Amino acid sequence: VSGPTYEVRVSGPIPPDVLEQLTDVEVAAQELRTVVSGHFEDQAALYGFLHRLRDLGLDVVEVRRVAAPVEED
Amino acid sequence: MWCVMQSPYGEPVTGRSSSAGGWFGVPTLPATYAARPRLTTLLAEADDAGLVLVSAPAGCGKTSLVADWVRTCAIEDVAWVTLDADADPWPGLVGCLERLGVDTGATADPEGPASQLVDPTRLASAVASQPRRVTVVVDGPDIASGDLGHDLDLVLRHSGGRLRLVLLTRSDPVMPLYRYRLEESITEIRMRDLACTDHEAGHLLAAAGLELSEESVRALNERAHGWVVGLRFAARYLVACEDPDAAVPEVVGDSGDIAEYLLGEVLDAQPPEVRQLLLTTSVADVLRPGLIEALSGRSLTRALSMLTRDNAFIEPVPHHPGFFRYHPFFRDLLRAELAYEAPDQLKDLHHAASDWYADNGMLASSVAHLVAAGDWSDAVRLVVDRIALAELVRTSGSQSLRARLRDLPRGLPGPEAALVSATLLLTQGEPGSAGAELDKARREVAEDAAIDSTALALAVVGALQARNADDPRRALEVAEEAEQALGRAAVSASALPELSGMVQVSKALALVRGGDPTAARDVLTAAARSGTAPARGLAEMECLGLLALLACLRGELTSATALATRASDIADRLGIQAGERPTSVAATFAWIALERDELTAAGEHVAVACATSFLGGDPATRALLAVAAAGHQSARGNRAAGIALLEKTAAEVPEADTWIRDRLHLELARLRRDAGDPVGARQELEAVAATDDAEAVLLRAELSGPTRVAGLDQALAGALRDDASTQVQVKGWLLQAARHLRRGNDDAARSALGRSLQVAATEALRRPFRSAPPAVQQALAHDAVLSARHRWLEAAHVPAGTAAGASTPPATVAPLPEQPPAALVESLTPKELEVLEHLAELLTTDEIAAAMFVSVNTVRTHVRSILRKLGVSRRNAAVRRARELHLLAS
Repeated sequence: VSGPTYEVRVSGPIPPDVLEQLTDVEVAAQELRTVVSGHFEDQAALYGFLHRLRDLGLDVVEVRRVAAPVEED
Repeated sequence: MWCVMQSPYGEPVTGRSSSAGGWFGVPTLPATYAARPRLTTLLAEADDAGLVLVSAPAGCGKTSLVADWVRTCAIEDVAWVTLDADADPWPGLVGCLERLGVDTGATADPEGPASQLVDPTRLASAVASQPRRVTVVVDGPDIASGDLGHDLDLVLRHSGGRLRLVLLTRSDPVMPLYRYRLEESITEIRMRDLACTDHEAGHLLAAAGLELSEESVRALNERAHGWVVGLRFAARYLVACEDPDAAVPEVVGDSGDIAEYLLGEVLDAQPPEVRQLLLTTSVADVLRPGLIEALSGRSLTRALSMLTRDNAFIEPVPHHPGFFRYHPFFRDLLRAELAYEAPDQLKDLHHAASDWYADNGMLASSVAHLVAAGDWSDAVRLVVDRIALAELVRTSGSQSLRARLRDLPRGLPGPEAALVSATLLLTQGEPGSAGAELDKARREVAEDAAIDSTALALAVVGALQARNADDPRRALEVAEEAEQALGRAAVSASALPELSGMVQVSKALALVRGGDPTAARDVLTAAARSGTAPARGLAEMECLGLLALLACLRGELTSATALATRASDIADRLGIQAGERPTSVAATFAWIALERDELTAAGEHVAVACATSFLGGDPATRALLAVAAAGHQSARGNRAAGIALLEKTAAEVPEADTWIRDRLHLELARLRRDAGDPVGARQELEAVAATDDAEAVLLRAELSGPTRVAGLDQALAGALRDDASTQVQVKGWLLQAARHLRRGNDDAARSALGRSLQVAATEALRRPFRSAPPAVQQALAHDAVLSARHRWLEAAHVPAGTAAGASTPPATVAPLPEQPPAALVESLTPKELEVLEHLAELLTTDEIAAAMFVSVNTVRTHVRSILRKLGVSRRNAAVRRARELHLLAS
């Protein structure tokens, strides 16, 4: 897996049927948010993923680039 | 197809070579372009990939690279479309395929715009039948919806390898890219590929007239991350320096962003008037003659032409003299700069652009600039002032008025905002919320005010919303009030006839619900004739659709076909998506197919009709569609589902809608009769409020057998007259035939049957004969003369797509939703299937027993079980049903 990791926060829980379609990322439910994180090769891939989330009816509230873990640096 | 998305207010139709949606043709390379063999080789080697994805942010040199590849590798059979921001990619893609000689099925009329509606499956098969592989480059599509991605995927997968689709995007398309990667049917060129190597950076800088030391090139390229536009900016700045190498450290200095720094240099290097020109014109997406002057106050075509010659950031639009556009990256930076330097001026410029578009009849673009300026109130006022409600309803493309107003904030003050909001809610199928907005608007418009455009809009939107009023009488009142308001209107606008027509449809719908379809027909016929063609498209389409549905009720299938086809043609011409057409049109096609016993086609049309939504629909059309859908279910053998659907629909129909309730009870009675439940059928008929309804009386008589039914003689006499509706005449004569048969009067029965067939033949009306009493069916089957004369009666079950004329589903229909599985309660055993096949071969019970080496009784048991499972009572019906369900080989 290459590319930086991004965390995308979406409001509310992700419905199970939508969850099934998000196979290539990690999903962690928080209280009022759900954090979806994954590696994205570049900006174009990230934007494509955001479009996909929007298309699935998810409300993106925050996108954050996660600093790479030290051992990978 | 391009132009239908634009306003109808007289924007010149530029033909299909171009439009505000995009431009065809391979772009020219900038003079300073440096070839990049590393990447063109990559593209050339990927010759067998179906999808070539060049995905990277702006300014990476995507367009130049692919244009260079197309040219230097002499790619054959290639077409290119460059899309404007947010443009729908389909018209461009279809246009490209047409340029490559693919018969896409879009309108061939060079005068009219082709249909923007795309059936991906059809498109794919058209491409698959090409003798050679074609390459289509789509530059700048925004494939951000799964639906769009899905359709593109469908086209690619089903085009038999005859399509190479090259997508140049700034963000990955919402498509199953992982699958393409697994199948190795994709070539990707991404940011890291497009980033210049130091070697390429050197070439690029040299092409820009800059000779730098290797070290300087490396430093520059490192700072620009190989980003092409960054390097170009740098080159433009450095080329003016006396000692470029010495200036490089200044450029790559660690303060701020290279682009910002260099943009400042590029902008500040321009003479003040050019700088001002660049900033002021950046608010427009495409600079066109007239608009340029409106923004800058003077003619600048010459200045812009000069700029394009040695500037990579502005280019002329191919084939459109006087049209220019900025490199998107540069434009965004210019806009940001303008917003920073002169926020007030930015607003003024948006208003100036808006005014210019409005004056030139391009309302959607005009509104887009007001929205960009954040002036929603002005935007909605403009829509209402221009009486553009019909345009709001009609178009739904990405550049349409509706799309521009999609993000209209809730709760803006003023009646105009409430009116636009109500119209948008109607188009989304939410008449309830639209009603609330209308109430808000009503409170703010003075009762006694003159009929200005706001009051007019209020009346019209009110009439549209009232189609769903609980009480048909109320719906009629509101429609008539709107009619009067239109009559007294002190404004004149080209949009008035269209609105007036839509109000007439509201009125007709209210009349239908009130039980007077004849009066409704008169209103619609008059409305469909009035006005001039271009101005009444939407209304004419609706009028014709509803007229067609009313014709179906009477059994006039030929006329219904013609009317619904005309309505479809108008929808094609206006570029209205399949899902946004009046439900009446698809419901009509479903009804025609059902009455003609073309069940596969009927099922497809029912699915299309159920998927359409137009202004929130109306109770009458919804109920009539439910009648057709239930009839289809029942004819498929799934009677319970048909009955359940009708009961559910009836439960949702407002209490005051007695006419609609009668239609539903009548159909329920028919389905219960077909299901072998005469008692239930009679109960349904008792619920029919109009006791003198001819079809109800006929059905009552049929169900009563020899028992006398009150009013039958009178009804039968009426039904057998030539001026009765086709449906009633056919059923009347059939009933007459049954009565004669019962009395043993065979000659009279045959004569009645002959009359029935004769009337039905003109419309190919088959359904009444399929559900005729067994005695009548038998008489018909044994009558060689009548059977020979009426061969049309058997010629049903035309496979989908090959049904004659307009009963074929329109080619423009989106992929059909999953059909409910053909209704077979229990599946047949292998033995039963074998018996069924013998039945189809017209073998007798004895012959079947002999052929299968079983006893006659066993065969009879099998036959009984087949009849039960197929829900039929006779052997020939079993064979017919089995064919419909594709249980038989032939």
